[in-house]
Amino acid sequence: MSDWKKAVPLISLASAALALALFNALEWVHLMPGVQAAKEAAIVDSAFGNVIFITVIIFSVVVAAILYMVVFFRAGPGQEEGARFDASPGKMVEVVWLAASCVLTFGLAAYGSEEFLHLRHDSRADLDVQVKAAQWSWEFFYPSQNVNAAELILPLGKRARISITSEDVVHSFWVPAFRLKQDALPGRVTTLYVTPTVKGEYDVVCAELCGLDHSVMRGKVLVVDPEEFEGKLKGEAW
Amino acid sequence: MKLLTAVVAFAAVTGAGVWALQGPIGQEAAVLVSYLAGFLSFLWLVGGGAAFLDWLHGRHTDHHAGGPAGFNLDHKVIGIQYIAVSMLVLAVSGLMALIMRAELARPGIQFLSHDNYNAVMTMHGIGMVVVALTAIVGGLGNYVVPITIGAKDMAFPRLNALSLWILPPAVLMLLAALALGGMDTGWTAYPPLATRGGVGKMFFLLAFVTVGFSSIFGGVNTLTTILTMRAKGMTLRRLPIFAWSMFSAGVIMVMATSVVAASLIMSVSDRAFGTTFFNAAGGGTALLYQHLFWFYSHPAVYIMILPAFGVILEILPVFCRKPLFGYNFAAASFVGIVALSFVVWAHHTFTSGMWDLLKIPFMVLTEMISIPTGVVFLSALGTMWAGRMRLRAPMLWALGFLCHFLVGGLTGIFLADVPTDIHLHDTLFVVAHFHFTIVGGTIFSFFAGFYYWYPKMFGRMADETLAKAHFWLFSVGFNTIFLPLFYVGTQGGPRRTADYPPEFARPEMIASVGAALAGLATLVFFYNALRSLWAGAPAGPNPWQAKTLEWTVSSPPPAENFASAPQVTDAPYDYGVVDAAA
Repeated sequence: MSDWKKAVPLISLASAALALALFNALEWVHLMPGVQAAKEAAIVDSAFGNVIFITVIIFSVVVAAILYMVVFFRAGPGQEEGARFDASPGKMVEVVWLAASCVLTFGLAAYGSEEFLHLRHDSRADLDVQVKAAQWSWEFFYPSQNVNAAELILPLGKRARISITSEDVVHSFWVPAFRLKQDALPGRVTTLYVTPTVKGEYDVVCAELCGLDHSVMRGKVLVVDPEEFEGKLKGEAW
Repeated sequence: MKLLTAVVAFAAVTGAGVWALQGPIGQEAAVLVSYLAGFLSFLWLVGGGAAFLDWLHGRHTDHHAGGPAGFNLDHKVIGIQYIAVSMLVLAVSGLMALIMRAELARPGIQFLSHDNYNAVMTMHGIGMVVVALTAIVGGLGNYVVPITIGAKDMAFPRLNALSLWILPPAVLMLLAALALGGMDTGWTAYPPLATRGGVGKMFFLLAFVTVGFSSIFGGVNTLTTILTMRAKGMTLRRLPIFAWSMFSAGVIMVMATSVVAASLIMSVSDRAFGTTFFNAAGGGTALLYQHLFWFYSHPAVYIMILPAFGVILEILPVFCRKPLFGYNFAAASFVGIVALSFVVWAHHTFTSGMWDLLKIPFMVLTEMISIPTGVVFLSALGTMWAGRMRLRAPMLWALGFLCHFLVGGLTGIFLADVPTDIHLHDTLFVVAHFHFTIVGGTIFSFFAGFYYWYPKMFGRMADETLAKAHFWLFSVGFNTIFLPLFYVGTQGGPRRTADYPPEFARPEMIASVGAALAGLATLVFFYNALRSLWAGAPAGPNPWQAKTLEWTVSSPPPAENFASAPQVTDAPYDYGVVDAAA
C-alpha cells in the first residue's frame, strides 16, 4: 500500500490545480452567449453551470491520476513486471467506484429533471405567436391581432406561446439568446414557451439542416416594451 | 484483375440499366433495379459466383483461391482487406473534411457553393461512419477474434467474405452520388429533405442499406464464432476482453441494424414507388423516420465504441505488465451497455417535438450509460495502477484514447441533460462531442490496435518513431480542430453550415489549422503503415511479450492459425509478479 501514501496527496493537488486552471479558462472564454434574454435562458445557464462544475472536476481527477501513473509507474530499462493486487482491496475499489458513479448519475438526472420541469411547467401564456418555417425563411403570425410579420416581436416580461410548423422539410427554430430550440415539422405543430427579460434584437437561427441555404436561414427577434408592442407590430405588418 | 473486371461490370450494368429503364419505369425505380443488378454482377465476378457454385454443389472451396485482393475466405486476409477498404474510405472522407475546413477557414463563401458544401459534408459523414463501423470491427475483429479464441477461422468463412465484398459497391455508389452532386441531407438523411430532390440521394440511401447488410452478416458471424468456435478450456471467464467487446457489438449489429435498414428502405420506397411513410401530405410523419433511425443509430455508436474499449483493455495489461483489473466487471459493463443502448435513442429527438414528459426517462437512461462506461475506465486505471508501464506506440495511443474519450463522454452529459440539450442540440457543440467520442474513442483505439497487431499481421514492426510522431501530430491537430468548435456551438453556431457569421472567424480559423495538422499526421500514418511492410524490423512471434493465443503462433500466423488445436488452462492476462506486496 506504500504507493497510496504518496499518490493521494499528489493526485489531489494536481487535480485541484487542473480544475482551477480549467474553471479560470472557461470563465475567460465565456462559453454561453453574452445576453441572457429570457427567464428560460437563466434556467438553462444554471443547468449548464452545474454540469460544467461536475464534469470539470471528474475530468481533472481522472487526468491527474493518469499523469501520476505515467510519471511514477514507468518501467525502467529492464523488462520489469508489475505487481498483482486484484484480490481484496480491488473488490472494495470496484464497489466504491460503482456506488459513487450511481450517486453522481442519478443526482445529475434528478437535478436535470427538476430544471426541465421548471422550464416547461405551465401552458398558460399572455400571447400567441405562430411560426412558419419554409426553405429558407421564417414567417410570424399573430392570431389575436391577425397580423403577419417578417420579424418576431415580443413584449418584455410577457409569457409567449410560440407554435411552430414547417411548410416543407424539417427546420429548427433556435434563438441562442433565449437558449431555446424547437424543431419545425411539416404537418405538425410544436410549441415553445418563452418569457423575454431583456430588451434588444436577437438572431433566429435554423438549427436543422434543411437543404441549400440552411446556413443563411436566419431571422430576427425584437424584444420591446409592452407599451410599444402593438404599435411596433403594426409597423412590421405586411 | 478480377476486382477490376467486377468494378467495370458494376459501373456498366448500373449505368446501362439506369439509361435503358428510366424512360419506362421512372428514374428512381430504374436506379433501384439497376443497382441491384450491378451489385449482383459485382459480387458474382469478384469471386462470389464461384464460391456460391461450390456451395451449391457441396464442393470444398479453397480458402485462398481468391488471392490477396479477391474473394478469399481466410479470416486473416479478410481482416486485412477490411482494413485496406476502411483506410481507403478514411483517406477519401478525410479529404472531404479538409475541403470543408478549407471552405470554413473564413466567413463567407470561398470556393464551394452551398450545395457542394452540403454534398462534401454528407460524404465525409457517411464515409467516416463506414470507417468507424468497419476499421476495428471488420478489420481488427476479423483478424484477431478467431486466433485469440483459438479457432481456425470464423464460423462462416463465405459469409465473412460476402460481408466484406458487399462494401465496395456501396462505396462506389457513394462516390457516384457525390459526382452527381445530389445529397445534401447529412448522413442522417432525414426526410422530407431526403425524399425530395436529385437522384444522388437514391444512390446514397441504397449505399447505406448495403453497408447495413454487411454489418448484419458480420454480427451473425462474430456471435456464432465466439459462441461455438472457442478452443478447449477457453471458458467465457477466460475469453480475452476484446472478444467480449466484439461479442457485445455483435449483439447490437444483429438486433438494431435491421431497423435502420427498414427505415431507409421506407425512404427508398417513398422515392421510388410514391408511398408516403414520411410524407405529411400523404398522411405519413417525418418524425417516424427519426425514431426508427436513432433506434439503430444510437446503438450503432456502441458498435463503434465497445470494440474500441476492448482493444484498449487488451493493450493495457500487456504494456503495464499486470492482469486486467476488474475483468468480470468490465465484461459485465459491456453487456450493460448493450442493454442500455437500446433504450436511449430519443435523446436525439429532445427538440423534435416528442411528448415532454417522455424526455425525462430518456434523460435518466442516457445518463445511466455513464455507470458501465465508468467501470471500463476503472478497469483501465486499475490496470495501470502500480504497473510497470512501457510507453510504446500502442500504449501511447491507449493513453490518448483515455484522455480524449473522457472529454467525449463528459461533454455527452450536456446533451443527455434536457435543459442544456435544448440549447446545444444541432450545434457545433454536438459535432465536437461526437468527434471526441468517435475519433477520440474509436479512431484512437483503432490506431492503438493497429500498431499493436501490426507485427502479428505482417511479421514486421511498424516504425516506432513515426508511430509516435503520428500520435503527437494527430492529438494536437485533433484538439485544435474540436476544442474551438465546442465554443462556437455554445455561442450559437449551428452544425452543418457552409457559412457562419463573422464573429466566429477566429475559432473557425483555428479549427482549420488543426485540420491541416491532422491531415499531415494521417500522411505519416499511411507512410509508416506501407513502408514498414518491407522496411520494418522482423517481429518474431511475440514482440510485446503478450499472453493471449494470437501471440503463441508465428507472425503472420500459418494458414489455419494453429498447428494443433490449442488448449487453454489459464486466464488471458497472467502478467506480473505473483504474490507481490502491492
